[in-house]
Amino acid sequence: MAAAWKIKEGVFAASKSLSELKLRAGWGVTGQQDFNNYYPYLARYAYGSNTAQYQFGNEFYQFLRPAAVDANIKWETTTTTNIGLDFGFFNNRITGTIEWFNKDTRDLLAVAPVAYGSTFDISVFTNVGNLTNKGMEFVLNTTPVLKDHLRWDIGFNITKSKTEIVSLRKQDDPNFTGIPVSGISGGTGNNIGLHMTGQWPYAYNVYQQVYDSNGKPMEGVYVDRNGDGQISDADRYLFQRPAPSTLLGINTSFNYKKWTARASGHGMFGNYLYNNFRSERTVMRNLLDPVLTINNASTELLSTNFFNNQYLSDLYIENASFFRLDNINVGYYVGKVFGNASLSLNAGVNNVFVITKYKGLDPENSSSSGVDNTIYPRPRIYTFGLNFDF
Amino acid sequence: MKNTIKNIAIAFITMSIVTSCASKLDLFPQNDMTPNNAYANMEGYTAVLAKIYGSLSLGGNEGDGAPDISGLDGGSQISFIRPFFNLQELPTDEAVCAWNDQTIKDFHNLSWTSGDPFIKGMYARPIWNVGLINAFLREATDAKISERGFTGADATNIKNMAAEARFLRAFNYWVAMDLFGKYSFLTEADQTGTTPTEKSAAEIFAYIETELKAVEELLPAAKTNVYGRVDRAAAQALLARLYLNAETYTGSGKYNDAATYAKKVIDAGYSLSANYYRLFQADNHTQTSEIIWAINCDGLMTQGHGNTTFLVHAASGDDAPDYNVNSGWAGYRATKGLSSKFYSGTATTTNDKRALFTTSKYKIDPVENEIDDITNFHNGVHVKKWTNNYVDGRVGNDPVRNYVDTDFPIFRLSEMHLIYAEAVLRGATTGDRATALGYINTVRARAYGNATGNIADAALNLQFILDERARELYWEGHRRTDLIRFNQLVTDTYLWAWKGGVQGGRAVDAKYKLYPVPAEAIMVNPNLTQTSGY
Repeated sequence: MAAAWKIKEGVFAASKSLSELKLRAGWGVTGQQDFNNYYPYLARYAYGSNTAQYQFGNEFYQFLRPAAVDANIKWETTTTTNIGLDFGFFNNRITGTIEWFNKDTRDLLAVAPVAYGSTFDISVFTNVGNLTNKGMEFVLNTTPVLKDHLRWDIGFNITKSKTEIVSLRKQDDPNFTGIPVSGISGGTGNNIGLHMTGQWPYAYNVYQQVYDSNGKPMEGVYVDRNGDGQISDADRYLFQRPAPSTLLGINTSFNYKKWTARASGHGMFGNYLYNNFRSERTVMRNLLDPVLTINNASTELLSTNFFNNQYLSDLYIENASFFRLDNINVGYYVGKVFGNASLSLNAGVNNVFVITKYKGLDPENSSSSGVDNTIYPRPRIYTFGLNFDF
Repeated sequence: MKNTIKNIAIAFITMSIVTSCASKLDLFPQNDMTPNNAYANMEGYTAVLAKIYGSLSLGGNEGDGAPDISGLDGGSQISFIRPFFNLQELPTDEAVCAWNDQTIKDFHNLSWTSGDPFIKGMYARPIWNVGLINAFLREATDAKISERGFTGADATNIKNMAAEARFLRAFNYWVAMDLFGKYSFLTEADQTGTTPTEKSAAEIFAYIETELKAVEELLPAAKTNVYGRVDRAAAQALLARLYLNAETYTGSGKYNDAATYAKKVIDAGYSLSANYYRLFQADNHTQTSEIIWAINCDGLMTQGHGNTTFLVHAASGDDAPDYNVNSGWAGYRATKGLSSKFYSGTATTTNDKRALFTTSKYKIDPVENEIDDITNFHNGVHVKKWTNNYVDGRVGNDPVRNYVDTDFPIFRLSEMHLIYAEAVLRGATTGDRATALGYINTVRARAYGNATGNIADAALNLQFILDERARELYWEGHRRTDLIRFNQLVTDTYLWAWKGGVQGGRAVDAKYKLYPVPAEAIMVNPNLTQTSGY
């Protein structure tokens, strides 16, 4: 449901410089049932493979196994409320939007651990709780230069937002410490994240690394945060999260006679990644495998000199804020060639550069859990094109 | 103002009520089956029973893949034999591991924590199996049998399956109680979705005892079921083992019952195999005169890295061909604590044929058998007890010799001899010392191939029994339980290499007699409490 009020027409109809002013508000509910398997609510049996059979007497029998179920699973619903002000000045040479939004998600769907023995797995896809996402978005599009053969546009947008888990299923239990999420590679069975009431989702749940006087991390030495004299699960703390607090986008285009030039970029700030590649591979143990083989290792190994994997150290939670220039493109319209055909030339670069402190391959990671196992770099693509129109 | 109001343009852009196609919610799976379809015929019942047994051999529905328990390693953490072996053998003199897989070293060091992924898997496995058995039992009631139209032999067969499933539930609870003490608890009265309660070791002991005595009457007579499926003797053997350790579990001994039930099995028609080594190789399914129940493994049809495939590969290194497998994982050995039970002083030979410590690359060597460096596979006593060998020398069922055919005996007759003798020495009045000595010498005579290893009555004492159990039952998953019963696991009465993480061995906190409840299990089940000390 949405409503809009054209303030310009009502209040500022006489204004010359103001070309548009509109207040709008919206409200809507959407459902989400993107279950990762079918029939998650229904007791159902499935046969296993030919290599999973059991021998009774002289015969082998395939396995028939019930699936893990959540009989009470329901849709995740998101209620979105937004209030925006659209404006335009000087014949819409400057246009923009300021928008406030609030999304309330109820019965969030996620894979979460359940009581062992209550169904046929120790974690199931289920409704885990409620969360809110609220923030502001500001969009500005301008045309600083507009002449007969010359036009320059600049667009800019920035979004600030905050996501918070409002409630989790088990929050009434005083001993409840959150839902472990974000399984990691290598440290099988270890989760690096935690869903916790009042926190960002997928907040990293880690040990606080201790460094020696030279600033080198000390292997397996962590801060005893609860002061009980031993390092246990209770000493883990929430440190940063995968989601950014600020999103930035910028684009510009320039036209002069037959020439055009374009560029666009975007950035994220406040987001962190768990560098799983580094935590798994950059230890001596990975180099010297006890099964009598020698593997490759990254030179990053020298920054820690760790012998064994220290998967849960906050050392591997890295600032993944970045700005990426996505593309630059230049074009020239040649005009008529070969009689009727028209030719235009263009050249461009995709993925031009990234500015970041992140040590992994790519700070831009689409996984919501923020566990980075990337081993394939994003390509930088150079293009040159000839377009004929007949 | 009037003008303003008039000019307010209200535009309802969207107002859609999301509707679902009602009939779509009533769709049923096409490839998977509802319970009614799954249990529509004997094939379905048998296939679920295969899974109930098979969950002790494989961690998933596609070998280790399609795991029953997600988030952990299919082979080393959520299958049964390998985690059971790790938790029962690694904290003792019988096994050390060279690898550095996560927390695996904490086991021999007796320093594990509630965050341990191996312990997490082993906590999750028995209650998963119990849940499956409970679901099966709900489908195998008299009412369901008649509702689905089963009569005659089929109806009887389903009832036999139900008795076997109840035995296996008792077995799973015994494993859990032995490792964790108190444990999550569910019966077939608890529908899927029920959060388990927590029962003390004494309560679980009572439940296991009641169930086993009930199914003792229902199961087929000893040696009458097909190979791989349990009979009455398996229930009696588990009762004998349960009673022998009753003092550990409940605080009060039940040695009379231990001797009684051991004797029931001994008198059921079993006899010891002539050759000890044949009980642990690929064709051990032929040794049914001695093996009462084994978990079945097959190199082609039951492929996983968590059953005997692990035991054979992990113990071998560059001598893998001796074991009839394609590669050695160079990981598991024993300390001299085990070999010294066979070899006195610096001797390097023995007439005891159970001493399977010599391969083409490794031998009994007073220097090499010391463990200066746990991560060096060459240090320690190499164990060639579990192999993929056939008597006729053939390659196993897996032509590339990766997966192993050897079955894993859970109960063997010789254990019953040892239980009887120990129970008598601990005061059982339901047996006598002369019979006990006779049973011990039966076991010894098989080991030596003649009477030269027999002992006199004067040598028969409890420490001898503990040592004889090590000689007879090493690497079969008994050692931790035995050392606890003799109070030698955590104390300094008996030290072995790297006990407690120091080369000479040391005593550790008494809390290590039990494993902790995994931190995550407590997090998701408010009924559970942590074991004291953790």
